[in-house]
Amino acid sequence: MGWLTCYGAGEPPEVGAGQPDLTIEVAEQLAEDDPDRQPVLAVEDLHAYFATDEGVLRAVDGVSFALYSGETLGIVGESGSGKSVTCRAVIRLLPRTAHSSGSIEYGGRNLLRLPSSEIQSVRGDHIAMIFQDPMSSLNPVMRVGDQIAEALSAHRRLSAGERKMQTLELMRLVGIPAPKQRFRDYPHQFSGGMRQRVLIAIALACRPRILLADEPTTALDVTIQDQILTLLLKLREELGMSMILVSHDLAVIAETCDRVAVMYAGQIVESAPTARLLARPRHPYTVGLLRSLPRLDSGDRYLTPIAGAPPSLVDPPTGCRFYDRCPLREDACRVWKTQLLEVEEGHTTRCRRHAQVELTDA
Amino acid sequence: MAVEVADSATVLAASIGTGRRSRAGRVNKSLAVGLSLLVLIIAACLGAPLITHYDPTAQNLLIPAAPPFTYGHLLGTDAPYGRDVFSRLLYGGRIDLLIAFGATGVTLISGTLIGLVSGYLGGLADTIIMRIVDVFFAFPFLVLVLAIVAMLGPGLMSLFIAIWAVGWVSYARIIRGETLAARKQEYVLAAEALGYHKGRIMLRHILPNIFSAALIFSMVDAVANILIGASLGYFGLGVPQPTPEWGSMVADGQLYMVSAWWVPALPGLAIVLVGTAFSLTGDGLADVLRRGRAT
Repeated sequence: MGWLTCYGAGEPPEVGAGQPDLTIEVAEQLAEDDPDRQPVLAVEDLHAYFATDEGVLRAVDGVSFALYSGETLGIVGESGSGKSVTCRAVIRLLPRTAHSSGSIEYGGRNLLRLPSSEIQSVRGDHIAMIFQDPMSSLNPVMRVGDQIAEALSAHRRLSAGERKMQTLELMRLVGIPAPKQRFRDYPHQFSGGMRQRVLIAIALACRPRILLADEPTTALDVTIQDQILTLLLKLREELGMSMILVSHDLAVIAETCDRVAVMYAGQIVESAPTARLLARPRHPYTVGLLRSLPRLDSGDRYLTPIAGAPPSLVDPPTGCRFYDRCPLREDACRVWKTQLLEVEEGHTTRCRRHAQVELTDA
Repeated sequence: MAVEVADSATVLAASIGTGRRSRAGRVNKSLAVGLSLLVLIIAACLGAPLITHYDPTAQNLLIPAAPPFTYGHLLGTDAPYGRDVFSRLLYGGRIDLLIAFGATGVTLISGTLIGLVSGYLGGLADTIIMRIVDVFFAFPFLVLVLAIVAMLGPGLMSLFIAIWAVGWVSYARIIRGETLAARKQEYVLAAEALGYHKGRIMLRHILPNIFSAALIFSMVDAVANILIGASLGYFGLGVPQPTPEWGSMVADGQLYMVSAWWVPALPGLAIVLVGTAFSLTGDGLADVLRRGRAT
C-alpha cells in the first residue's frame, strides 16, 4: 500500500508486479467470512437532485454502498463528482433546493424518512461530520473550549464541572497541547492544523458511531495533513468508529482506507478493497486517476492527465458517462445502460469492457 | 518596510505585554469622545437634583426671561413663567434619554429577533414577515408614529408604543440580510451537522456574529427617536405640560425667539449635543467592530 505515498519517504514500489499487501488481503478474507457482519450504514440507490436555472442537476445519481463497523471507506473523485453531496445527504444537510431519494439505513431506520426532530438527534450523537475548511468551520466569536463543551452538552445533560473535565480530556485526546491554557482562546489564535484538531474534538464529543470526514486535510499543508490523518486513524481505532473519508486525493485515500469507492459524474464507477483497487483497477477512470498521480519510482517527468471534462449533470449521457474521455470506448458503450458489474467478490465496476482495462505501467 | 516591521514589533510587544489584547492599546477617538459625552449627559440628567436645586416646574414670575449668567440662574429663566432653564434642561433630558434608550432598546431586540427568525427559517415565515416589513416601509416613519399617537392620545406611553410598533422593521431587515449571509457560513453548517437545536444555532452561533450591524444602526436610530420624541413634544403630542421635555421647550419658547433667544435655542442645542454623542459612538463602534470582524 505504500507505493502511493508520494509525500517523501516512499517505500519501494511493489504494485507494478501486481502484488498487493498480503496482510490486508488476509484481514479482508477474515472479515468477509464472518456472516454476522452487518453494515452500520447502508446506502441504497441514493439520488440527490438540485433545482437550478438550467434544469435539474443530478449531483448524486443512484449511489449505493455499505459501511461496516470499524472500517474506513474512502470516497474519491474529482470536484463535482458528487462525493461531498453524498456525504451531506447521509445526515440530510443538503440545502433546501435539494431533493434526495433512495434509502439510507442506519440502526434499522431510513434516515431519509425521519422527521427533522429525529434526524437532529442522530446528527452529532450517532453520525458526526468534519468539514474541509477548519478556518471557517469554527464560530469566530466563541471561545474554543466553549465550542467543544457545547458539543458535549448538545445531546447529554452534564454538570458544569464534568463538562469542563471532558472538554479538557477531548482536547488532550486530539493532541492539543496545554489544553487548560488553550481552552479560553478564540479560533483565530489557533493554527490551521490545531483548528482541525478542535473540529475533530467537537465531532467526537458525543462518541459517534460514524464519522464523516469531508476532505478533512485538503486545506492543510502536507506535513499537517499527515498528522491529522494519523490522528483520525488512531481515534477511529480507539473509539471503535466507522469512518467515511471523502477526498479528491487518491494518495490520502490509499494511506488510510480499507475500501475505496470511486465516484464519477454522480455515480460510483468502481468499488474495491484499497489494495486491490490500486493494484488491479477495473475501470478506465480509476486507471486515469492512478496515472495522473506523481510517483517517485517511475522516471517520468510528466503526469498523464485525463483528457476532456466530466459531462453535464443536468443532462447526463444516456450510456456510460465516461464515454467521451475513455480510451477504451466503443459504440456499444454509448448506449449501454450502465450497471455495476462484479469483477470478483467485493470488487465492482461500471465498465462493460473491464476485462480490457489495464494499469499499464507507463 | 522598516516602518511596517517596527509597527508589527510594537504590536507584538503590546500583545505580549497585555496578554492577548493587541487592540486594547489603540483607543478609537470617535468612540471615546462620543461615549464620554453620552455618559456625561446621562450622569447630569440623572443627577440633576445634585447639580441644581431649582424645581424645573417652579415658577418665579418676578424674573421672567432672565438672560443666561444671571446671578443664581446659570442659563437664565424662561418666559413668561421665570422657570430655571438649566434645571428644566437637565430634568427634560431624563425624558428624552428615556425615549432614546427605552424606545430604541425594545425595537433593537424585537427587530433583531424577528429578522433572525425570518432569515434563518426562511420559507413562508420569511415571506410573511418581509411583506409586513414592506408595508411599514411604504409609509414615512413620522407619519405612522403620529397616526398611532393621535389614535392613543398624547403622552409618553403612547409615544413608546408607537415607536415600538414601527421601529423594529429596520432592524428586522438589517438582521435578516446578515442572517442570510451567515447561514451559508461553514460554522453554521457545522453546528447543524452536530444536531444543535435551531434556537441554539440562531442565538449562540449566528447572532453574536452579526449583532454588531444592528448595534451600530441602533445609535443612529436612537438619535432619530429623540428627534421623533422632540417633534411630538413640539406638536403638543408628547409629554403634557408642565413636565419639561426638550421638544416642547423649543415649541413653547419659539414665541420669544426675538426677546429671549435662549429659551428655544438651548433645548435645541441639547438635542444636537445628544445626537452628536450618539452618532460619534455609532461611528466609533462601527470602526471597532468592523475591524474586529476583518481579522
